Amino acid sequence: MSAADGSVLGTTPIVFNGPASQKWNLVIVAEGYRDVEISNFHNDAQSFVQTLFQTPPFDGLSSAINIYRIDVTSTDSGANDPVACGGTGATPRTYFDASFCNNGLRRLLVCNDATVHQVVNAQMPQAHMILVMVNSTVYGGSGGGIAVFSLASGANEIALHEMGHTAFGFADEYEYYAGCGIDVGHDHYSGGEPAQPNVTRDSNRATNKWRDLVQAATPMPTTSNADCTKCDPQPNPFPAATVGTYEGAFYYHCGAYRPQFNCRMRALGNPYCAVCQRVIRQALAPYLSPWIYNLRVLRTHAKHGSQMAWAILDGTPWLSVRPVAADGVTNVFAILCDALAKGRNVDILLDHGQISEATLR
Amino acid sequence: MATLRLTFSYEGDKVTLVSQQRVEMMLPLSHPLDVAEGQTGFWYTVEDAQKRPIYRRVMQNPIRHDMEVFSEDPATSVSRLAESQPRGTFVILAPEVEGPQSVTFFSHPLQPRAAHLSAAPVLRFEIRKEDLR
Repeated sequence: MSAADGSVLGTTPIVFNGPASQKWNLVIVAEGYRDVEISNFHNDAQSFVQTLFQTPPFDGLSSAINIYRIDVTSTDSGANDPVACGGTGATPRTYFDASFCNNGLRRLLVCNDATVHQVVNAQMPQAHMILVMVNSTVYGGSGGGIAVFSLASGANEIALHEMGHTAFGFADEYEYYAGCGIDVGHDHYSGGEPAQPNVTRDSNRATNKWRDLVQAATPMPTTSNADCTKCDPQPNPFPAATVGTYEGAFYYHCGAYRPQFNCRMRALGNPYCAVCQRVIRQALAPYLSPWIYNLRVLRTHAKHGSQMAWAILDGTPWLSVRPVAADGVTNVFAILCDALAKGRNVDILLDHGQISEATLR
Repeated sequence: MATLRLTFSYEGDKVTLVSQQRVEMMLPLSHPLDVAEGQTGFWYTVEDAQKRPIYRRVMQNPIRHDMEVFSEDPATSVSRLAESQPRGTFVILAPEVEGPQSVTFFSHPLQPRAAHLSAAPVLRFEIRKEDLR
């Protein structure tokens, strides 16, 4: 089971907001899809895209992001699912050797990350974040340099949590290591200030690193754990959106604080907290500009009797000219054709993946 | 300024720089270069020819001495487990600068359950421009 068990078909932009050199690039890699199933991967990747762009704050940042799909076929479907972990015993031959049951845990789904990086470095070296989508409905995933997740209901959350770590440097906000009631030595955080933006040991209103998001009426610390030998059992005493310092975070019951009672970095299925959302917005802000500069026009195409016109520019797929009004399409298309004829470059404004304005350089 | 895509592999505590690519892409913004004493976490810095840090990124420790485990039980949807055989590959992005440059990783000791320990330089790599692809 290895890269000999399949082939890399190629890379396709499925969300395109500008050349990869100017955007934040998310790459989704197929694993465990047979050749005849690769169209399922196209649908599964598209489904993840919908989830991502319905997830705050990504819902307001879509113009910063390109998403690429790398089609990789495998000889067989799915992932190894050892009987030892209660699995089916399946041992499919797949390109990245995905397998459940790592370290004896069925839900721990990993793949050969060296091969994944080899493929991405060759296909899409501008990747900022890599997700591997495994063609299995068994729940599982893992993190690290890449995020791996299956097609099981809710496994998208694994990808979103791991993006928080890998792409944005978030710490875990949960207050245990192996689990509440299991840990020894996780009573009190004794270290220095964590470098990560979403956990702290500082509950002082005057110095806390997210103090500008804390309302004056919110107590600091916002909650305290009355018994540091265990996870704090108290329910949230404040409205869910209240930002403060909630004791219990970064694998410790006490002494470390998280910004909101719940966050996707504490438990899956929650939104990112306000602090994490702000960090994501700040990180993606440089990629937001809808104007794409200094592109060469490679091809143009128009359809007789319609308002439809298209162009390929350097590094782009076919882009349509936004068909808001006939004269607008004509004017923009004329600039693109002029640039092509004269060998001059253009700046374009992309709106929902369509060219809505153009400037001849 | 070009971006360097640096790929590392690791097995146990041994980390190797396996590939260096020059890529036309927008580098994520640097995090503040000033680091308070005793800070915990994981980050890397890029140093110029004068050994001055010019870029810093905080990230989750990619050298996995423990792994995140996911469950469908909402009470413990995420937890951690010590990795018995740390091994893997990861990538970092770095600015390319004129002349010699280096990358330094700062981390707590590379072992499980060590998140509370101060970060210190644990690995340093010289970027060999002649090896760039």
